[in-house]
Amino acid sequence: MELEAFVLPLPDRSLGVVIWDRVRRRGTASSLAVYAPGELSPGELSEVASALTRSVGEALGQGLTGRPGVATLAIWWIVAALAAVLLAARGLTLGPGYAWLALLAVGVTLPWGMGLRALRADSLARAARRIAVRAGEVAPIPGGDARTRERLLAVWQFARGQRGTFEEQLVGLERFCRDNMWPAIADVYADRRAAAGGEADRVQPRPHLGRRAPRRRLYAALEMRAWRLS
Amino acid sequence: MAIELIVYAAPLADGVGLAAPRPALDAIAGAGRILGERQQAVQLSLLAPAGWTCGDERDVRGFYRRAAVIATASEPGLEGGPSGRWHAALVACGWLLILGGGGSAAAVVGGLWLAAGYPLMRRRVRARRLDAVRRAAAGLAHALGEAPIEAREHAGLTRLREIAQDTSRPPAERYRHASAACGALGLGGLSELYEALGRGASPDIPWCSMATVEGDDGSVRQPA
Repeated sequence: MELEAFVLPLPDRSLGVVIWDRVRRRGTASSLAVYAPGELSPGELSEVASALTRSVGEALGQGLTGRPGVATLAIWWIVAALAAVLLAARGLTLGPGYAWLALLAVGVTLPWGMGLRALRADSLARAARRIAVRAGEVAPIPGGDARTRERLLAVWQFARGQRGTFEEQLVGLERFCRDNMWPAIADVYADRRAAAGGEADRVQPRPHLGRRAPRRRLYAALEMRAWRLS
Repeated sequence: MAIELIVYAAPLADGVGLAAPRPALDAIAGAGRILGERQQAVQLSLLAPAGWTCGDERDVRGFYRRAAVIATASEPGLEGGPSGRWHAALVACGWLLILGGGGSAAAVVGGLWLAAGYPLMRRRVRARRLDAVRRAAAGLAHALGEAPIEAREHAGLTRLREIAQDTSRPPAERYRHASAACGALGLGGLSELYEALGRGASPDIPWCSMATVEGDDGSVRQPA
């Protein structure tokens, strides 16, 4: 399992990002290759690895771990809804008040909050589980692929020439990444822009900008230090 | 290769303080869930300024345990649904429907759901939830008791030490300066710690102060 992390430019600081929805599998060795504009200290590499642990752990927590399985949920919804309808119909013969009472009594036993949203969260958790079972084998190391490094440095070079407000700079960075065929990183900037002013260091859905349904990009993020590039 | 649980050795005016800001706590909670899926190697990484070495491991391990308790204390229980007296009332209502339904199939089905079906489902969900929390807690407890501790140099903390131990300024001013510098050093989580220390208040994040001694080679370490 090969994961990649990137230290990306932000106005006045940087953002460490580990994208974990696309994992390369080559052989049995696992690694987390961290690409940065300069050398990272061992502690900063540990922070990147820790951000991955946090993000995967949060995704696991959102899933159905410790919740009923899909079959149990379906049975629960069907049986409880059937009981509610039957009781309400029976109550209706006595008067509408009794029907409402029956609906209320059985309605509160329905698994509210464990419907479609829970199933969507479960698919996120399934993706996280693939990483989680091998998380202990992933060691953060400085990224060695020259092409990827060159690609990252191009983003940094572009960021150096950026002017304007925080949001304008993020728009510029997003556009630059899209123009240079790096949609994963462009999505990160899009998320960052959407969450500007809020905390964006969690797994977040991409805002729906076009007609196409948004694809959920899974990544861990953490704010890192400012870099002065020569 | 191991899952790394990080805690910061934040430089103070007269030594070092261990601190676990929110992201570190979330990572510990996340590691618990990962370990609940499968037991794996864990390493306790103490992010520290250059030259700092960890002396007595018991204090560090104790701090990690405290952080783990705080991190996992907010694990969600069974969300929503009636509980306590309301739940008992629903079950009683179910029995009344079965016994006093007058032979109506609808009343019996509704009664059976309230008296037996719903409590059974609820018990199953609670048991699964508890099992998941228990597995995560067991994984963390095992890891924190036996995992190796390693101090790892952090460039931002090395710079913070220069600020925090700059004797030309009073300590409160140093902490305020350190708090302002945290963001640019990639240590935003520690800003709150220094800000509180600068005010002379107790920080809201888990932390503890550790005494340190300077070695012959100039390195700073905790006394054994």
